[in-house]
Amino acid sequence: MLYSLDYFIKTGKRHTNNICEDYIICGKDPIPHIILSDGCSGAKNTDTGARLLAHIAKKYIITYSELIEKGEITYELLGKMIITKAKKIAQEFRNGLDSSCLNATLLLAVLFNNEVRVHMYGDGLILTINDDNHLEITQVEYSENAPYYLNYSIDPVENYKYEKKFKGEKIITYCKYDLKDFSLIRKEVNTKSKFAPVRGVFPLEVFPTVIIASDGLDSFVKKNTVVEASKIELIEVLKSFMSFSNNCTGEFIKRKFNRSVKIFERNFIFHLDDLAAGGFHFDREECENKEENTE
Amino acid sequence: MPKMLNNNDDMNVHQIPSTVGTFQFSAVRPEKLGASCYTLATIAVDRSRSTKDFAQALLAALKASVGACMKNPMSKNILLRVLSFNEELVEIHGFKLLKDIDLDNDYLDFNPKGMTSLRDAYFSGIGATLTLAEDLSIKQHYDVNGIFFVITDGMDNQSRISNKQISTLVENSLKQEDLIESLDTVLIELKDPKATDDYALEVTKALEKFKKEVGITKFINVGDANPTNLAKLGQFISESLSSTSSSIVTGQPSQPVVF
Repeated sequence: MLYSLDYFIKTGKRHTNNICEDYIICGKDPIPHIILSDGCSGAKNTDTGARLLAHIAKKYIITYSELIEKGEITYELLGKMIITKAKKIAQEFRNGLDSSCLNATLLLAVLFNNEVRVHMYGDGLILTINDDNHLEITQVEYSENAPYYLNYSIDPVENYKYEKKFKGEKIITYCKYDLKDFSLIRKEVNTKSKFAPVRGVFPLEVFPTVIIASDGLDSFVKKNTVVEASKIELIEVLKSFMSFSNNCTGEFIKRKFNRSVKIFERNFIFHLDDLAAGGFHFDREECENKEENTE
Repeated sequence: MPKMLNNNDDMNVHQIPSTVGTFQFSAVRPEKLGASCYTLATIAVDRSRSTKDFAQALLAALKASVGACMKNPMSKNILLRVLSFNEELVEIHGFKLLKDIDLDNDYLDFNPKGMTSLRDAYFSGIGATLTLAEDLSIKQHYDVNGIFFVITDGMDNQSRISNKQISTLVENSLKQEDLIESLDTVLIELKDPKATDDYALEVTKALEKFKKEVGITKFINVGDANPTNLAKLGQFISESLSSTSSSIVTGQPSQPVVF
């Protein structure tokens, strides 16, 4: 199958020390994958934690790809394996790296047999463009803006601290828009427990574009004055970021996202939080052309 | 209109907007472009009759210059077009990735003869760059910058295009926001070693006037078109190309290169 795989990452305006707490890995070999981790700003060394989580996730996806594909390693088990290993490695850096550095989200998108499998641990976004040219957005947030990270699930102290302060309800907003005019076709909002899995299977034949993104994509504000800024609604952001040209080959996400950020910044619109996104695009036309030529 | 020598299925043919004649160029299909940013580079070489005595050395300098660029880490971000001109424009190859250029088979003898259509060549070079920039940048969101070298030993005596048409094309194009990050144009004068000093001075004055009227960024007088100077020119071109492509990749301003 002919597909493109690309990513984009940029530090948010709020991070004045210029350290990006989002991290993303993207690759085609041996299994096409995108792995994104968004570190919690309140945790020390979370940029390191996000990197650790992402690389360990990659290692497990590659090592256990067959078992993951068959479903023998479930969403829950994979999450547990990744965070357990990451915590063990973090602990080896005694006196240097507190395990709270692993307070980070983890989003995985892996291509198995022409289907993109997505797992989301924490908050973030899944964006797809389907065959009918509809944009579907699945946004996961938490009720008090406090994501329940994988780390909490195996650290009783962190879990206790979290449950004492937060209810931890997962709010999943699903919207479908017509890309022709961005008219809303459908919207659903569901509240689920913090343990509820968020995962999806997206056949590229039906969803030619599948993108995962950190919540930085929903952190754009317009600077009205030196002290006052107004939030830009997510759909207004996506009208620019998800209007890809007909050519979605190569670095298609970098091209579009770079251009959109540039135009926004020219109009004093900035993303406060780090922004990371990665995605697949299936080139149906190119595939059909190739098939015609070989017949 | 330029004669296209080098065309295949991976290339598209584009039209440069013009009220005088048909100007076309070819460029690699965007689906073949893997990166998100490119330098659109053009080298136009005079092959009028007066260049006969140094045409071989000029060809060698061109090959050396392109060959040197191929070794640069930023080479995958360069699209290069090469054309030659006398009274006719010949597109030796359209905008191609450096890895797709065959130094031995793409750059053959110039076979110098005929007159000099410098303005037409300049229009073709600059017009192709801006037209391709519109396609890649505006329509497909690639970041692009441009650099155009035109190498000549004499004044224009044959063109259909006027200076005014060139400056209008550039002015109208550059009104478009996000069209092109930067565009450097370099007019390079070679002196035929057999030409008299008076004639050479006349050429220099005419070229400086041309530079001013169409807004060329830089004018370089190489001096005698001998192998040493031409080799130095080749090096200047490859260093300038590298600096320009580095700029579009890193986002930093390009480092000025001195001849």
